[in-house]
Amino acid sequence: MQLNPSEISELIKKRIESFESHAEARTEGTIVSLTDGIIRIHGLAEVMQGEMIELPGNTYALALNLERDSVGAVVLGSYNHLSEGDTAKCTGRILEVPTGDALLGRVVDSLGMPIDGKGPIDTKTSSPIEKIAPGVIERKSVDQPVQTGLKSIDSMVPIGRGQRELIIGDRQTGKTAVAIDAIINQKGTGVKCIYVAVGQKASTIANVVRKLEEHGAMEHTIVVAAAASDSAAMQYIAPYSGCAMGEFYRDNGEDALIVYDDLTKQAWAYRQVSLLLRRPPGREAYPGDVFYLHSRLLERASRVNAAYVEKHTNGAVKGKTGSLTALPIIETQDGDVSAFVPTNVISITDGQIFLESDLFNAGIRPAINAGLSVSRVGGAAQTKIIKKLGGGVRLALAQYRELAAFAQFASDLDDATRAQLERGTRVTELMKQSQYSPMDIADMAFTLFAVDKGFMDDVEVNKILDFEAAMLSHLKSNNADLVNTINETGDFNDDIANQMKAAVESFKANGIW
Amino acid sequence: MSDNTTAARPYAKAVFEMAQAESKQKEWSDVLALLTDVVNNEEMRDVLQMPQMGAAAKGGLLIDICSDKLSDSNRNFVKLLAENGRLSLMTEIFTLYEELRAEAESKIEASVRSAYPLTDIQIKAMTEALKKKLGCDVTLVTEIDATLIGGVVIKAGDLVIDGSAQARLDSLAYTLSH
Repeated sequence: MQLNPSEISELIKKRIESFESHAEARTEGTIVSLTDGIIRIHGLAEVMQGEMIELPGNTYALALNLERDSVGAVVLGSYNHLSEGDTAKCTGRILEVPTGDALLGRVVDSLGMPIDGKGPIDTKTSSPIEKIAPGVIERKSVDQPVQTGLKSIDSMVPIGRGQRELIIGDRQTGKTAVAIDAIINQKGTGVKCIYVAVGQKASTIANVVRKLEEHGAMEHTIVVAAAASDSAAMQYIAPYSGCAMGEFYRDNGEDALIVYDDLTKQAWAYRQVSLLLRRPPGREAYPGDVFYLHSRLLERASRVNAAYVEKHTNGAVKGKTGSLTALPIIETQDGDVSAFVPTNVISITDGQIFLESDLFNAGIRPAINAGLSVSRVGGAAQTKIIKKLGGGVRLALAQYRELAAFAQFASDLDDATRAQLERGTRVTELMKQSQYSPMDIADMAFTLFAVDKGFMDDVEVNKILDFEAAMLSHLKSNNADLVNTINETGDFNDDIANQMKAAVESFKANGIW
Repeated sequence: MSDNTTAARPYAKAVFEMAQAESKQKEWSDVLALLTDVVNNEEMRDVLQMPQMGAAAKGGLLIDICSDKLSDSNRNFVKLLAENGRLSLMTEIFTLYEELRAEAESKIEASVRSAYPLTDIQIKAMTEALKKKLGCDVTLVTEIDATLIGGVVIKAGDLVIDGSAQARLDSLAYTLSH
């Protein structure tokens, strides 16, 4: 016979000793109907919106509809053992999830219960899943970067700590890949990551977890998974649970990055729950509060000032700011960004990274549309050197797009126009980057420097990436000091520019590609 | 069930306000109890659900059955319900009427389930304690339920005070297994 670890007599003794029992006064009601995971309860006069309701068999439900003569609630998890006439009790509590460092490296469900088979999680703290976002006074402006390690993003649509940057695009355009690369690049930076998977196949989630493990990124990552086979209620609350886990780091003066993959499916789950609760449908059959669904979630991603952190930790952490950066993902249908949910989330976030299937199929990966992608606050947070050198790249691409359209018809072009077109094709080529190979600041700086100062103008377009790889490895072996300085300080001045120029020239003179 | 309550509420309120104005709360209460019994009679329920019978006929039938016990306003009430096709709401109207009446008279009925018969002293103490907690007159209805093993479960409206041995054993079982 097999014994559980919890059946050791010492433990049993302790538990019996600490067990306190007293008569409890609670409000009770009766389940009058049970359909598709939605229960209607008669009675329960004192229930609150969003309160947990205790049902028989250690099941809980979430009160969502408070009506005059009944309460509509959604069962969290399986509802096969419930039946009409069962009693439902108020708990007086809002749904809570465990938080803390013990969750790092683990895969949990929407309630914070482990689902990776690695045993129980020993957390000391917990936090309600729905919380009010910090107010204006408690915030600090975004001025530190989150390096994603993708040169096209860090140079053209930089992301700051505490920012909300939307990743939007059709299916199969590499949205998840961008987010996973960003998570992998946080290794060793102290930024904790939370990956919330909503409505995906369990096999897809398992693949992501395996990739994160392969690249050593699981040590700083929590995966919150609500797979497609989980109930709609679990998919609806998963982002809030993940956010509560991320807020733990923000409120303790640390930095965290959270990826919601993806909010379209969460909106679908919420629509399902709402329609079953008989809430009136609106545009695209979504209920009236889908905007609030996403705005209250994304507003919790923020940078908070030292006073907030000090107050929150009761003075244990002094002089440190905290941040929670959010990368929500939205999947569009056939590039339609004017659908309901995409427009909502675009308007809530501080910018978007727009991925296109045409670019993806043309081999430009990450398939970022540089014209439509923006970052409204990230510029202030960009590393000085990338900001100085990335400006030229953005400009070159903008001019290239304008010229490329009508240059197709022109037979002969003047030299200036041809130079711009040549530069544009090279920059486009250079923005390609393979998956799982994030770059550090110095690598990026040298690449941008080389193309911006014209060192790549005489390199064939199909050799650009080879040239880049050869140059970076040459610099790492011959100019290690300069590379380290750039990585550590991120400064840019005439002295550094001259050193970089000399280094690149020396490579062009001696190197092969 | 809850939809029926919502539909029954305006009727109950109207009846109660009328009864209050005429100080005939007790009479209306008796009439509603009688009507509820009749409507819930199995044969009667089948008859009232017959689609080929008109609304007026159903109302008339109900009035004929209880004729000697109904006043004029009682009859009008039955006719109105029949006209609106709401005779099936009689049970809910009666429940809501009784709730309104208890509220107005600041009375509440509490049920006490216990494993063993309660002594008069216990009942008196419990009534006093509940009176203090709920702030109104409490009538206790006792019931024996051996499955509780020991202790009592008090239920007043939606409020449940569970002091039974069974509940404590359940929570001990939960603590040990989690």
